[in-house]
Amino acid sequence: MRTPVSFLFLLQLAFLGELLLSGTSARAAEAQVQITELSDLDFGVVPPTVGTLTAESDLCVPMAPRSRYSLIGFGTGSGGAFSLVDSGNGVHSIDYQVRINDRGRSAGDELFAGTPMTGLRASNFLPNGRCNPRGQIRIIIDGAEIGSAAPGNYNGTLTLTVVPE
Amino acid sequence: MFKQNLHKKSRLTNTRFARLPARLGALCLATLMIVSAPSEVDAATQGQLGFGTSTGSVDVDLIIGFQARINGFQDFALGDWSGTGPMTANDDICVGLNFLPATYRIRASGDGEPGDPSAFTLSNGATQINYNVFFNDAVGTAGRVPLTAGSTLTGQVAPTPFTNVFANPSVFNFFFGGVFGCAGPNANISIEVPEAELTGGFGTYNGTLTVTLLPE
Repeated sequence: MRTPVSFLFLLQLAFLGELLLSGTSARAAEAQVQITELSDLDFGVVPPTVGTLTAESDLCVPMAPRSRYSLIGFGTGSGGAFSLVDSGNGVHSIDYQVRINDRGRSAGDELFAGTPMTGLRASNFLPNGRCNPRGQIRIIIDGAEIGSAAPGNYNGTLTLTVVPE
Repeated sequence: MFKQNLHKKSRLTNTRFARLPARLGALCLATLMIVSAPSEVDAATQGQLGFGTSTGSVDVDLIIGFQARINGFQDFALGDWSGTGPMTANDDICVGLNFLPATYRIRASGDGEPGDPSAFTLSNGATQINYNVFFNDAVGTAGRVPLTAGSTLTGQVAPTPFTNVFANPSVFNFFFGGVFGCAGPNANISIEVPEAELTGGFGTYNGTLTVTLLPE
């Protein structure tokens, strides 16, 4: 069954009207937001010659009303740097790269510690408590970092905060 | 020797029940939920639903194991004895350790003899002769020290990077024992068959020298 063209036209007009009437700051103040679907990333035990490691976590940021958001991230390295620290001696560290994709599973854009990434697209709240569509956090540890690191148990926490725009 | 374990989390996705009878579909769904339950105890912190901001966190863990490798060995072909003096040979080898300070121990053993299973010996099938083994934690033989069969030489140092034992590094080679090279020799193993041992009798003598690298 086809939707009448006139109905679609009216729907588009209504949506456009809402965009024109809603100021960005007002929307941000009203927006309800959540960052969810996150998973820990455990690379396990690796040899120093393993090469570059990559691991992904889902990322979903539902927002109502749905809009754009900014994301800022901090690691547990010095000054909030994205690095893992050897829990055995607290000195040795391994840097990692964070890439964010607000949709799908492509490489995404690099997130720099303490620098907001703006213009990310929010998702929908779903009735079952999940959200959709999902994005992705990708953690990359360069093979050279691993190859030159001392043996040890390296841990870190990546903290991500989302702010409606 | 090293141990390695790669842990990966498995995830159930894209399960379809479209062609299943309704009851079977429900049963499968229940099973799926039970199987998926462990992921719910994940330590990642999900953000709270709120106005303004939401913050979540992800733990990232990586364990790099201790590793050691010694390679670059070549067989010693001493050739024919001239009839005078000892016979000697030496070989620059690679010692790789992925930690600092990269100190290590060396232990060597030969084919053995009655009363000493680690003795450095060569045999022609009927007669055994003894030889001496030396180790140096630098290339060349200057500064080498004698090894005692079956005993451990301590306090050796490898100043070069661990990657010197991977002239042709690749993940495949690492796991399946492919081509490894000695990219930067940093040690030397040498042998000497004293003249007195060479007068024992005619024949072709051979043996195997086993060298073990131990992190210190």
